[in-house]
Amino acid sequence: MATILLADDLAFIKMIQKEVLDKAGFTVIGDAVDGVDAVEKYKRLKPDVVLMDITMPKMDGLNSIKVIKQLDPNARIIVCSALGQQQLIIEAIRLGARDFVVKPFEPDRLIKAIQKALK
Amino acid sequence: MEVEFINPFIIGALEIFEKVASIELKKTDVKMLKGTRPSNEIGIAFGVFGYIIGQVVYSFKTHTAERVVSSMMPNSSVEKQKEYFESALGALANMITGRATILLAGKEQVIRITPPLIIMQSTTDTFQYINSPTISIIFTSRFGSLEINIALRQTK
Ligand SMILES: [Mg+2]
Repeated sequence: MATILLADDLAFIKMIQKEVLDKAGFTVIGDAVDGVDAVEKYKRLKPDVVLMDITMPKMDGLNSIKVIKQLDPNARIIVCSALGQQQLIIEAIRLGARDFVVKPFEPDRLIKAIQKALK
Repeated sequence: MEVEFINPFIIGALEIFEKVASIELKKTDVKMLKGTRPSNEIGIAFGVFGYIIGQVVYSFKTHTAERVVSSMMPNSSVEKQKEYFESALGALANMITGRATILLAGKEQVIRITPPLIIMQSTTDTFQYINSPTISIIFTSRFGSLEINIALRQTK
């Protein structure tokens, strides 16, 4: 089953995401608390998909996408953020994110985004 | 401080409370303050930057915050609700702020925020609250009240 890395500074969000992903049969193989941690864990765990928050300490999600994409141009990253502003969605997609799911998210929307990224 | 910055937060608060905590909020008061220092002991503070800059501080009384968190995770044990207390409040306020930024930014602008800072004794001096004109919005719910103090201005 596909492996997912969760990057978000808030434990509550990752707990909800994990519940939804477990139920859908995905394996959460790790979680990161900021953009730097996400890069480290990406290198180490090689997840099939990363769920990436934007607002995080140390390094934000957009910069983290940039670094991960340099390391692995095929990285599948889906942004999951409350900041669903049009210009930020465009920026995330330009940097190589496959999708942008706005928080609070519908479980179905998140699962579909992951399934689509895995195709 | 522009009045048009206020409505997006009212819309965001009503919508997000309903969606993630099944709590109906009612706006009961709007007033002017001299700074963002909250009147309740639990505060959740955000810095705002980009097209609009300033600070937004959410606050609750402790018992209200506890009930809100338990309403956000109704199937979890009391221990688990305690474990996630701060990050659940941070997530709730983050989503309200995020919703407000979507409405404020429109199609062209970008507004960024800092991660939430949870202040457990927000009425004492643990945080640099802004001392500039602030609009304070008060909501009530079945669990008690929520205050949102907003001090924002456009950068150009
Ligand atoms: Mg965040």
